[in-house]
Parts: sequence; structure tokens; C-alpha cells
Amino acid sequence: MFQAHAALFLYATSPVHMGSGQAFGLIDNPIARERHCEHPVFPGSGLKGAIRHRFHSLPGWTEDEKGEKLLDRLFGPESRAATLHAGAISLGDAQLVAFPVRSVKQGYVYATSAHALARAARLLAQLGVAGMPATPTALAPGQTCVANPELLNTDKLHLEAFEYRNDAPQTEKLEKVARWLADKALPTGDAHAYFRDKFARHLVLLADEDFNWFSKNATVVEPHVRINNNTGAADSGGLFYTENLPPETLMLGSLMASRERSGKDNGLDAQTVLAQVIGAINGQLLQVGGDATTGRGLVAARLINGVSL
Amino acid sequence: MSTPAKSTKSAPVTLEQKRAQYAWQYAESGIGVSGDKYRNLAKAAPALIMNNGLMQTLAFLNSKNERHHQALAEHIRRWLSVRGGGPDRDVGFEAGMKAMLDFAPDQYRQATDEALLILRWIRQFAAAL
Repeated sequence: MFQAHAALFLYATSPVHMGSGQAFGLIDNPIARERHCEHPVFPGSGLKGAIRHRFHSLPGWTEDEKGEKLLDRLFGPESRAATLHAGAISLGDAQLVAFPVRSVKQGYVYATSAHALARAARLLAQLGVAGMPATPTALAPGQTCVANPELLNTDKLHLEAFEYRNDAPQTEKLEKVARWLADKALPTGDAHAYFRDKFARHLVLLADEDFNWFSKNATVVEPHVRINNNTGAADSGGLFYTENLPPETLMLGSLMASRERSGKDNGLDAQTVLAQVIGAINGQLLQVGGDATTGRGLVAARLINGVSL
Repeated sequence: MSTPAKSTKSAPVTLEQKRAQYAWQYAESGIGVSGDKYRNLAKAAPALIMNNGLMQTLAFLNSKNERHHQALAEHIRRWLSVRGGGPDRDVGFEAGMKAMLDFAPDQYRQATDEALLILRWIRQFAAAL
């Protein structure tokens, strides 16, 4: 079992394409989603690979057998290795916490729902991370609760082509959650100050179904064509549509560690394993998912250590 | 046990089958009218709706005034009419827009969803035909 836990917040600073292969749907290359609520998801296996890869670019990292051995001890050896053992690190799927939506007032808002916040609170509790304020209760469809009246036209919030009635009683609850997430989940440092401040002021609560709709229909969908070398124009037959999670999306995953499983006498304990990984990625920019060479998949990682459970 | 019904053409069992059935007709007629142009437009239409909205997309299709644009717009409107409990015919650009302007937000969202669901099928069938 895993003895050490941490919450892993991932904040997208570019579009992210964690794909789910080819689909026969609306989009040729859709992003991975959860089956039951269709929220975008970062599969844990993809995160694990991205984090393992991140070690290679650490200052002082040398590409040699010693380094690979350490990675094998932390993440597990290749499937064809002579001695097989499990890795000591477990990455959970990252779930959706807040999703950016175009707004008439203030450019865009960070939308969330009671369901998304309750799931975040549940995961944090499971990881032994205390302190998240009580989450608001679910709203009726067409209602909203905003942390800041500057988003409203009288009592209405306008997101894309839709209008939501503000329901004020839970404002205080939402404000506390927004402030806490802005402080704990968003990236630190001056470069991100604007976004922390905006998150605290412009987190809006929507009904679960309204939020799900935006998370499904307000992603970044882009056409791709193949350019013909001779004509410089688009070739026929190369058209496809690809989907990305928009920048400014906030996701939450889990990072768990056990003692090293390689069977060595002087194996690392769980806390040391966790500290190694946290040291490598906390506060760093990771590249996750596909289309890395076209600037996709940049996420800022922030970890909160959980108490041992 | 009752005896199985005679194998006449029975009504579709699920809504998704009904969508497929209608989309097949639409795709056949669209390909018949303008072949590849209709195929590529059907491929592009979901992204147009997702990025710009249903009404903007219908207005754009109407403004282009080419046969494949007209055909696809007509097919979307026909399906929305069917799903709204109306007949399987195109109410026309103006009437369709006027109706949507009066939609409550949840109705407009449902119409958008339905347009995307029928396009999902049209897109596949158009590529296969």
C-alpha cells in the first residue's frame, strides 16, 4: 500500500491535448474524458510518463545507467527488464476542478460546479490534505453563484451565448473556496499573480449539467491541413479536427508513494520517494500529452503534502 | 411467449437509431447534390458550431449561398424540427432563426446538442458514401 500522499494541482498555461485516440464522433482527435460526466481527464499513465521524463531535464542530471536505475527504482523498470518489480510512485488520473469560459464581463471566468468541487474535496480528504473550505451545494440549471458582482449585468451572468440568474445565498462559501484554491492550487510566483487574483474573484458556480456542457462544448477545436510543398496551398485529403483542453484550466490529481519495491536492502522509504518526486516537479512546468512540438501540453505543477493516513 | 412480429419495417428502437436513419437520408441527398464539398462541410460543421455557436453557424451557412452550404443547413433544421415534434421538413432560414431567438437558454443548449448529435452521424455517413 501507499504510505505517503500528496495532492497534485495542474494548471494549464497552453492548450493541452491528452488524446483518446481516433474517435468516430464530432472531432477526429478528441481529448480523454471521463465516461460518466464527460469531464476532461488527464490519465495517470500519461502523467507518470511525463514526470519520469521531467527527471531527464533536472539540473545536474546525467544520462547514464545510474540515473536510469534511480528512475527504475522510483517508477518501475521497463516491461522487458531482467528483474521485474513495481514502481514506488503512483499517479492518479487528474480530474477537472475549474474550466475557463468566455464571459461578457471581465473577459472570461473560471467555471466550476458543486460536483467538481465535491470531488476535489473528496480527493483531498483521501490524500490527507486538510483545509479546503466547505463546498457549496448544487444549483438548479440556469442558476449561478458568483464570488464577485462585477461579473453581473444587474443579476445576470452572461457566458458565451447563455444567461444565468445569480443566486446569492452561497456567495460567501464560494468566495472562501475560490480564495483557498487561488492560494493553494494555482502556481506561485509573480508571473502567476494576475491569475491567482482573477481566480479568487472570478470563480463562478454553475449547475452540474451546465458546467458539464461547457466542459464538453467549449474546448479548443482546431482544423489541421497538410500544406503541399509545391503549391504552398492546402493539399486535399489532409483535413482533420483536433481538440484541446483550453489554457487556464485547473486539474487535480494524486501522487502516492510506497517504499521501494526493488528488493534491495537499502531501499528508499515512502517519504523519501515522495520527496524525490516532489522536488523534481513542484513549481515546475511539465509537458503532458501530445503535440509537444507545437507548444501543447504545458502545465504548471503544484503539490500539497498530505499527512500520512 | 408471443410470436415475433412479422419482419415489416418496424419503428427504430432507440433515438440514436432514429438519428442514424435520418442522417443516412440527409447524407445521401447531400452527397448527391455536391459530393466532396458536402463531405468536407459536414466534417467541419461540428467545429464551427462548437467554436461559434449554432445560430452563427446557420447564419454563416445561409450567407454562403452555395448548394452544399444550403443542403447542410437544411438538414440541420429538418432534424431540429423532427426533434422538436414537428414535421421532417425545412422550416427555412428565417423561421428557424426567429424560433431560436425566442428559445430559453436550456432549449438553445438542447438544440445545439441535437445539431451536434445528428452531425456526428452525417459526418460519418458522408465520409463512407
